[in-house]
Amino acid sequence: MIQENYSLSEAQVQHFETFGFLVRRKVFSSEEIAKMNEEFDHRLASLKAEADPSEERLFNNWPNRNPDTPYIANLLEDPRIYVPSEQVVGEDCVPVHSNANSYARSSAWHPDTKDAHLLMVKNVMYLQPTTRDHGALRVIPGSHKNPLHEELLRIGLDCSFGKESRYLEESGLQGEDIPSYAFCSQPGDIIMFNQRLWHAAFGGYEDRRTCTYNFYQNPKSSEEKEVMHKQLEVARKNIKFLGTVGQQYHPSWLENPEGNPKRARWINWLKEWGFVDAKNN
Amino acid sequence: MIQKNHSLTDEQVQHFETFGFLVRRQVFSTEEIGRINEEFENHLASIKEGFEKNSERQESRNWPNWSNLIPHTPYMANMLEDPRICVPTEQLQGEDTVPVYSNANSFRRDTVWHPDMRQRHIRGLKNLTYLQPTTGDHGSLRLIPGSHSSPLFDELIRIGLRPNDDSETDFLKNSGMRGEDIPAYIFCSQPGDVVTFNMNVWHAAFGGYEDRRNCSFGFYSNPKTAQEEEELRAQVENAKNVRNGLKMDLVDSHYYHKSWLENSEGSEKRERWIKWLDKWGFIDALNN
Repeated sequence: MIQENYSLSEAQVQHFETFGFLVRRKVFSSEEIAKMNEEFDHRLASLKAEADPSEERLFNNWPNRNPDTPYIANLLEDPRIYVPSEQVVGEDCVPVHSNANSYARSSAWHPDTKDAHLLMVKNVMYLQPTTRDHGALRVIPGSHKNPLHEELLRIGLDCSFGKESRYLEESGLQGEDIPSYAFCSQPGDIIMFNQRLWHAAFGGYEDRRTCTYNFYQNPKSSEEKEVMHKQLEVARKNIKFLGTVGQQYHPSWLENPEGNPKRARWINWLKEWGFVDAKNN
Repeated sequence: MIQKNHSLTDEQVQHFETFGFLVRRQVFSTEEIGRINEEFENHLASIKEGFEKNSERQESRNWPNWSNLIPHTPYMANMLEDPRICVPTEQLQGEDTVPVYSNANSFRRDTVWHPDMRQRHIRGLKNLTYLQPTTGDHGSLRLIPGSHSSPLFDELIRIGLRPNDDSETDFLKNSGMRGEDIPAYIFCSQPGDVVTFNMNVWHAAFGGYEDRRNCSFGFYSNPKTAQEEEELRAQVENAKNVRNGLKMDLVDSHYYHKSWLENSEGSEKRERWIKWLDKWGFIDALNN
């Protein structure tokens, strides 16, 4: 259900809060997806041409906020992305990351964050059709909350940062066997999830494409502020680990030539919290 | 992974505790399923006519279902004592767990979202085996992983996922979603596979069809605390409603058939179960 002003219905907000994610179908048209794929193709080709052959990367990925992919960059300011994000995270939330990813394999089970104090959401759009055996995102409903979130850590399901899952090794199960919901999608569909939610994707293949738009809650309490400082450190580490190519906040985006007040607020916040410094240098 | 003595591995126990259910594949052979289906068919044929007449008269919404503990289905009656059912169950619920229900169901439609039990202290566990292949669009059981624990368990009640009657649920009505859209694990199964779940887990099945078959084996934990005892007493009261609500086809028989209660082979386990069922009033509630 997409409302005219792109805001979520009460039931959609309930769904997001209960299960930790929300699926919206046909949010972008096939023409828009074609445009995104065209920009993606060009940027991926130039990235491969520029790449140092001796450098090993987990997968090809780059920030969306660059002049080579103007359509994708502007999606942050598209109400279909920011209105629902602001609705669940708060009107003063800020898009800290926005990346394009060309995966070459499956993604093992992990949550993006273990922190329970600060709400962070990720909007993910797959640029190719996905099925459960062909790269669909799988999520464990309700795993953004305890006790399930921590129980999954305790049993050793976590595979983040390339480590093996102790639970899978000991149980003889495969990642595909873990009970979950598979987000079988068509290009144009969007899933928005709480970054504490456990997720994975199987049936990976060369050049499995996503665009992501991550919004962080504006911290208010001292505890939330402390977590945000930690996120800054995580952000620095992740650039190296993920091999992200290019500056997260390109100078052309930071210039904000059209004087968009929302973007101006975001830029001030990102500078104030040190994300521009951490992610651009 | 099935161990030789049919006990579960530590990881299987962890899986059950974490997600609220466990799937075991190929627990029963094709020959065994053939035999179960044969007993199922014969008994279904014998009650069908009476069921249809009753349904017309009562305009009931139920489906043909009966107790497995009857002499007409001897193989199914003995499955409770089969180590493939009772060993894992005792491992998960305690050695003094007791089978309260053993049912055969010939469903005619979908099953909407619900947990089997709302009590949170006494533990209930159901073993379920489908007698036909199932897929997501063809009768598979769907389970919401982790929904046996709070806050998810309570949250699903709060948003109104369970209907109060046969109508659409509040959440589905307000969201425009269908039951099939609720995120869940889909237990696509072959006959012989068994799913064991905590009765607090929210579950449903869609893509229902005429004569969708399963056999279920429901066990309760032996109460230890006053709270557990109180909840068990509520379950005894509930048992009367279940018997009346499901309008079971007991063919002038009793839920716990006298042949089962006679325990002619002198099974110690069954003897303990019968004493317990009698003590707590389940025999009285379900047989009278």
